Amino acid sequence: MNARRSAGLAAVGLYGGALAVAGVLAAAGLGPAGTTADAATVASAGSVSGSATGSATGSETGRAVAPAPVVPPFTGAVAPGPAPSGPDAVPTATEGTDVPARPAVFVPTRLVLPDGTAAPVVPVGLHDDGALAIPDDVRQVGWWTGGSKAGEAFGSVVVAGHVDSAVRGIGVFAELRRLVAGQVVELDADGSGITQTQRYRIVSAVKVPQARIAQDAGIFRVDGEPQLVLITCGGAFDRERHRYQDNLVVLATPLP
Amino acid sequence: MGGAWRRRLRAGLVVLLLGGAGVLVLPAGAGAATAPTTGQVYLVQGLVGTPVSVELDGHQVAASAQPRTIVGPLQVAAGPHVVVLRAGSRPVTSARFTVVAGRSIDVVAHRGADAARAPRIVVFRNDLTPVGPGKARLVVAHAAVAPPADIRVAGSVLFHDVASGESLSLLVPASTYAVDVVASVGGGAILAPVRLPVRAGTLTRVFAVGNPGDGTADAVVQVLPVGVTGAGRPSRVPTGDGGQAAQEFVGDTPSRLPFALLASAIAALLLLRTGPARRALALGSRRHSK
Repeated sequence: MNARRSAGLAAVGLYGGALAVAGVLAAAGLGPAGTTADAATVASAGSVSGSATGSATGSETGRAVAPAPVVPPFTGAVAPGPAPSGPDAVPTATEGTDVPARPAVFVPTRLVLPDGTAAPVVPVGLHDDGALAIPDDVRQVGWWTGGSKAGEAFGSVVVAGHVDSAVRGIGVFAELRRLVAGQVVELDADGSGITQTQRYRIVSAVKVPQARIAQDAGIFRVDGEPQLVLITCGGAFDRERHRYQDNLVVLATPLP
Repeated sequence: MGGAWRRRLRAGLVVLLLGGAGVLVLPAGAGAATAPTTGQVYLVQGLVGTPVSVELDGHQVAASAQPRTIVGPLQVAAGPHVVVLRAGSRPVTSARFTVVAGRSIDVVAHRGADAARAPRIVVFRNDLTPVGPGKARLVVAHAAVAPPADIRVAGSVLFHDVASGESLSLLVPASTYAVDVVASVGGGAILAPVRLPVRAGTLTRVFAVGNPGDGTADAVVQVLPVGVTGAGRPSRVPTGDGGQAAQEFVGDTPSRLPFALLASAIAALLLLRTGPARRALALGSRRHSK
């Protein structure tokens, strides 16, 4: 089973490598533009990728196949044929083994930063105005329920947290500002005596103007290469409006 | 079983086949707010070349189920049951299986890996747990007369060494996927590539059936609706209203930020001259271009 999965994951990795070129091109669209064009970014080549296209899913090859015809069952009373005879004439059907292709797909409950700091992760949705509902507790961070779970083969796992709060002070995600490419972060989930873990290697950190983050196709995508997206605030702080100019977005790719 | 019923059933099948380019998606199981007492059953006719009648607990539910069709949905009381498939009056295969209230299962008739042995029945449970927005659960099952196989999606081996009677599931974004199946040893084709549309909010099942040795290998595709759970895309991510972090981070003020970052990066390089610092500089501090 392990060989099976590792082969599958390695193949996904190769598949991901093949998409890296497309990813580099997509990455050019990621990040600030216009008025904040002079914000410095630390970006590595290659791993930020956009959405899967027809060629990436191979859909131009092969014959089209449609769902099989579904026949409604007949419910009238009909005399049955002769029953199979003998006490062992009807064997018990084997149960098909349905195995998940990925070793562990889970909703994260804990994020561990490279310095060992652990932050609880809670599932979050949206406020009525569409803003992501970040946990008020600055020691906690939120996992966006519309994104991928940890371990999924496609799409972004999005975790966001406060860099600071007027009421509660410096947040655990202030640490994102100190992260550099190559460091490892980890998502965990505890349950039934087993801890599920997925580790990610940081590849880049980008500042995106807050007003533009919703338009960034790479951050909240559910398709394409799997990635971890950590979001907090960054850039200049506007004391009049009590808000930061940018979001700081840290991207990481899953490790096998 | 009269001729009139046969004609009606055949006419119904013809209507389904003619009209059936679209997805025939049937309602999910009976599980309502009250505790369900029945389970949902589909009979997947994977016996290529053999139309069969289907009996459940001695009562006929399909007079002539063609190969590569699905009989259902049946709402069946929880507990043990017996299914018998016949060609004419001769039993082709039969099996006992158990229905669990509130669950959905596929009872799949197939030939197994060895063409010389009798057809058999394997029961797969349908995982109808909700999926995220824009996603589907793709399950590919090996029910073909073939040795253990690699199931490839979009050209990549995602499922390796899957034996007949086994299936693997994967959460995927809605798209059209090229799916093919080859023998794990030797790479011989088991199912030639098919273009499989996978719609969001579905369990899309693909059964590889038939015998590649005599050219009858084929795919039986079943689409069942599943719930969708999870929030929509955020319009913004407000993650800071205190400004304390801006004070804490050296040089992080509106006018001096870019230069301070560059300056501190250069200072780090000069002072440290170590590998990590050198790598961090090499990666960036270039101006972002659009």
